[in-house]
Amino acid sequence: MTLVLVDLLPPNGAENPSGLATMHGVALLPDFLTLQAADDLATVGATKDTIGSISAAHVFNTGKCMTKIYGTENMGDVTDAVVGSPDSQGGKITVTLMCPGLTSDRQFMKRMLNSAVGILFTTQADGQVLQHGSELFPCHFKVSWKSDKNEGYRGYTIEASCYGNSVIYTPGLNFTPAA
Amino acid sequence: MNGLKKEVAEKYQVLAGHAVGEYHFKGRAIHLDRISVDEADKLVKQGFHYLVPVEAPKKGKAAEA
Repeated sequence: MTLVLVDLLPPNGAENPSGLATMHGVALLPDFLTLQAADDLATVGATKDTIGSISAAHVFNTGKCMTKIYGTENMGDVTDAVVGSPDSQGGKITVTLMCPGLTSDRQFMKRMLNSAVGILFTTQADGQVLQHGSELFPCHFKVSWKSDKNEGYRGYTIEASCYGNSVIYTPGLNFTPAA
Repeated sequence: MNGLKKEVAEKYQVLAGHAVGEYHFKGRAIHLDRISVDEADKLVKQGFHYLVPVEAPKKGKAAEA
């Protein structure tokens, strides 16, 4: 093991807003031509940057790209949890996004996501993008809808979960079909 | 979808495998067909991946031939 621990220091002026922004991206696994991956701790030549983030852009199959998911502010979140027993721990990611309305497009997306696996990209409040899911462990989705009461929230709850670790995806969101 | 503006296309091209269109970077929506050279320069300095400098033509015997 050539990697060494790094100091975890206070913000010292770096802004650290909590929560999610309102625009996110999702893509189904078969839509990727080249799905970049972060390094593992054991990867030869890995650094803290290549383990914690992906800095090369994914390439999509022709005509494919990420699809937008709007999420109401202050109603969604990401949890990057640790699961397993001591000496055998891994990660499990859970994402919740709330998307308002009731339309045929949204009904279609509900049925599609509930029947597919993919990669979810959430935009954090500071603009950074986190990738959830990988080729080995893609996200599974549970999309439900609720009318709620007259003083509630009508819309879709999009829950995504996968095993593994979230990684920072520095290229950002790509909403342009590949040429 | 339109291409890059002419003055932008003289300096940058879109990353291989990608097209001119909408990208979101650092919380901002970017439409590559609308940006100016100054905006392109700033984006690239900030680490925007989808624009890459156009390679200058090589000088030498091969280029002269």
